[in-house]
Amino acid sequence: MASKIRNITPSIGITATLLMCSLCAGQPSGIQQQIDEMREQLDSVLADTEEMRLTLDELKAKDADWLTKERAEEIRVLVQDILSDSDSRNSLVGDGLLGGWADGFFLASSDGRFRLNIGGLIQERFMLNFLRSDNTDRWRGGIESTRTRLNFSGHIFDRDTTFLVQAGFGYIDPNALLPSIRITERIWDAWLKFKLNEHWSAKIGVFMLPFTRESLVSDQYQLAVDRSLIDYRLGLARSQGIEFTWANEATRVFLATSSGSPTLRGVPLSQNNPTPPWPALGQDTDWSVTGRLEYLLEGSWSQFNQMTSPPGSEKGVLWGIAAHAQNGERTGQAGRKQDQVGVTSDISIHMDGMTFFASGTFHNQKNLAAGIPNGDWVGYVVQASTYMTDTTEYFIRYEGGGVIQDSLGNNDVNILTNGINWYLDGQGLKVTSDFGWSFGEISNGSNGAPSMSNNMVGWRTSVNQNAEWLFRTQLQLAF
Amino acid sequence: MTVTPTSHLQNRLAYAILPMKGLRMDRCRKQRIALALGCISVHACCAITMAQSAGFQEQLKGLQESLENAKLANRAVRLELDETRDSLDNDQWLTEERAASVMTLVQDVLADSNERVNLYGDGTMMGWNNGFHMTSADGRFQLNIGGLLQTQFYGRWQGVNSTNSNNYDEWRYGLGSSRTQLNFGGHAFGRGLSYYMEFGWGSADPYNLTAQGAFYIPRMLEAWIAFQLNSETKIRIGQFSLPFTKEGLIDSPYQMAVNQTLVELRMGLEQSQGVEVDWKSDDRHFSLVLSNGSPAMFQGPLWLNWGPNFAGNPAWNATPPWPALQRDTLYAVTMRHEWKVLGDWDQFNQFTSPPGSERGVLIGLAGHRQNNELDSPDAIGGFPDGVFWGVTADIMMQFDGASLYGSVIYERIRDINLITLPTLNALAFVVQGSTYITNQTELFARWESGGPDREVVGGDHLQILTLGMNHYMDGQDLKLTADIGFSFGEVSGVMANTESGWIADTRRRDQFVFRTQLQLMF
Repeated sequence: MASKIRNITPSIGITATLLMCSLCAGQPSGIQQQIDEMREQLDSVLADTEEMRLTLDELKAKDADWLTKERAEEIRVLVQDILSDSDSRNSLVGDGLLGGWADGFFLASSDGRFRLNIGGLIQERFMLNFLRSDNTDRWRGGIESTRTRLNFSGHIFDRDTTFLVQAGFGYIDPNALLPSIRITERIWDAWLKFKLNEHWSAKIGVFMLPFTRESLVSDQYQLAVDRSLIDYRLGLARSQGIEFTWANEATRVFLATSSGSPTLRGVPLSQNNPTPPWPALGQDTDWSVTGRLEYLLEGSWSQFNQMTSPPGSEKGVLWGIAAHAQNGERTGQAGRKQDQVGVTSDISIHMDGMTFFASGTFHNQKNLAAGIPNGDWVGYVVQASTYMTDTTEYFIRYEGGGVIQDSLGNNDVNILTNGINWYLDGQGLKVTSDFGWSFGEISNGSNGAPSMSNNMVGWRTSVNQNAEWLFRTQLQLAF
Repeated sequence: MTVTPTSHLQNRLAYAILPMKGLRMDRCRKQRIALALGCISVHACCAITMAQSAGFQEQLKGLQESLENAKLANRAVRLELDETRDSLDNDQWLTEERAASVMTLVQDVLADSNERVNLYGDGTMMGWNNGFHMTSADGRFQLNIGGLLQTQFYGRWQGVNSTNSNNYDEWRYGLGSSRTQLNFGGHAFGRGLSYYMEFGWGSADPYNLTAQGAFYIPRMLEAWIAFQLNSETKIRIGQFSLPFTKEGLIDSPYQMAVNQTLVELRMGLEQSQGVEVDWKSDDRHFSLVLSNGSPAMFQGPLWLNWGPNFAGNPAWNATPPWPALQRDTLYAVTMRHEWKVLGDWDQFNQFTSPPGSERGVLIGLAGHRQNNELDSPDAIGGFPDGVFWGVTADIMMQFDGASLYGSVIYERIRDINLITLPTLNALAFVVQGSTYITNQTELFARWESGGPDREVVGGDHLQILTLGMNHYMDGQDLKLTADIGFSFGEVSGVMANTESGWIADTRRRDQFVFRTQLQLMF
């Protein structure tokens, strides 16, 4: 056993030695592996980093050049599109409200249901009147702000419900019913209009009664500085009521029932308040009806909203005929009933730079004054114009008439007016000058009949046929 | 022999391999040699291994450091990359710089577009730009809408009841709204044509020409159209203040005290209708007006005989607009010349000189003459052919937080009444000074004196000192004014003025008036 032990001892030593050696040799090879792995890891990280850096550089380069020419062009086109889309120069504000200018200042809802147009009219006038008289001042002249007003129009809820309010400062008595000749606050129009269907519409409020065409053409679209004296007396002026309109392409019918026309003093309350609005229960008329029929023989309706026919415009012919009747309210059974009926007819011809207009009017009045049961008024106007240049127009007008009965005045109005319009910017900016010569008399009225004179128009009373003339110049700004 | 830790270990190993104590005691020579060789080889291996191991460790350590550094760098790059990607992809792409770039681009587009010039600048075609406005896209039409509200509290002590009258009220006080106005102005058909309309409620007779001064009615305060002929010359047609005294030319909201002086309210020319030619250069300003005349100083033809009013009130109409053919003047000419010694023209549109504003000096000289129209070719009752003329001079000085104003007016009227008053002279002056005590608060003092020289129309015994304070909460737009005026002389019926608070007092009762006004203007 001991010898066996002795024999195996060297083997054990050798084996142990070999084991130790192999152990020692194995240790460095593990570390090497570790190192190799770490190297691989390091290489991987470095590669990843390099890749990211490249990407980053690209992105940075992209970021720096974000507003490329192409993009800039795209933005430019986009902005221009936005601007060109607003063809009416709208301005979007807040919750979709639109506003700005589209042939007039306006505010509108973005859905188009509501719209408010804001306009204005300023008429500054110089007048010089000469009257050969021994007991009044022969020369009278001065400057006045004849009309300074704002108008608010548009539609509400939908395009079929329209409105107009026209208020400002002007002659409170434009039809010269009173001795008062103040320029003060007043309303011209205030109405609400409903389009009932394609042909019918109804208007309620204060408006011009549909009688003479001269009255129906707005103040700012007249040919001369103002309407004729005849129209201010024999036209019906404004009243308050309801008007129905039927229209198709060639025919229009206006039917109005109102508080009556004040121009022949047929509305008693107008003696204290010559222009509407009037209180409903004031003394006006029992009933009042006005009807007008218009035939459009040629042209379009809109061209007859003005008296002139600018060069290049359409040819047109309009014929109108109208009638009016009113029955006055009386104060007690003994009071006189001032009834009246009237008819008028007119023709307007527009000839691409020239115009012709003529009208005739007749009224019969009952019980205007005690002891004078009947009064007959007659009047006529003939007017023509021609453009001398594209912006300058010459016009001429003759007017005559009045009340036939001498006891109520006379019918000797005979006025010839010559004048020039200079359209600096259409009807929006216009200078009008005219010179009128009275060949007859301008009655002062008597026995309750109103005078033919009218301070706003510029004609003073002259009853001796001694000649009266009137020079007027007006600067008009309308927007 | 030195026992090293290694040899010690080897010994222990050897002992562990030879478990039996008896065998260790019985070793042969071969065994010892083998053991020695083993030990040597173990030692050698260990030494080699130790040496090798130390080198690897160093290498490993270096690699680890490199790896750590590389990872750090990687993380930093990744972070930067993520941020860059985020900034490119997320909603915050529109940075301030980019917004500025887009803005510049859009402005270029707009500037290039001649048809949309109004969009360049204040931005919109309606809204607020130092006032409410509506504008056409091409800039040819503009409508500005403004307003003015003035609400006052007045208190007046009329002096003791020396005559023991039963109908004498020593104290009067109350609230009032002297001006409530809207104005509509702007330009049309280009900037060369401007217009202005001012409507509202105010006194029917702010100048006490009639007995209607206490009536407040709808009024048209101004309405005109102006053509800018060139950079210096303008023509204006319509209703406006006649260019006579500087006090009359400064609009109500830009006055220093609550109201104008009594001197101005009587001897200033007020408003009329006419045509004005206005020429203004860098340092000179000249105005020439042909008008319907001034209603001031007994010019009754302009405001009397207007026919019955609707409610049966007296037929007076103290303020324009007046009809052209109503009796007024045969001619009326007003001229005013201003020399701007220092400052800017705009700063003289108001009396005050706010702290920080430019210094300025303005000297004005003006004259007026009018000749009344006749009732008839012969003077048969009423007013005969009267002539009224006047001259005035004034100076305004503004000192960056303080101001000084002085004016003198002389007027002469002929043929007011052929018998009782064939001629009348009137002389008056006003001196006013102010200084700011804070950036918003201003103290002022004003002295006014004068009047007609004839006792039959009250004489020239007016002497009033007014002391007051302005508190500008938002400039002139929101302003609180309080003043107190003491009358040291007499206030004749001619010089008294209902709206400004002074009533006639010819007994030198030491009347004083306290006024406070809140003004809102936009």
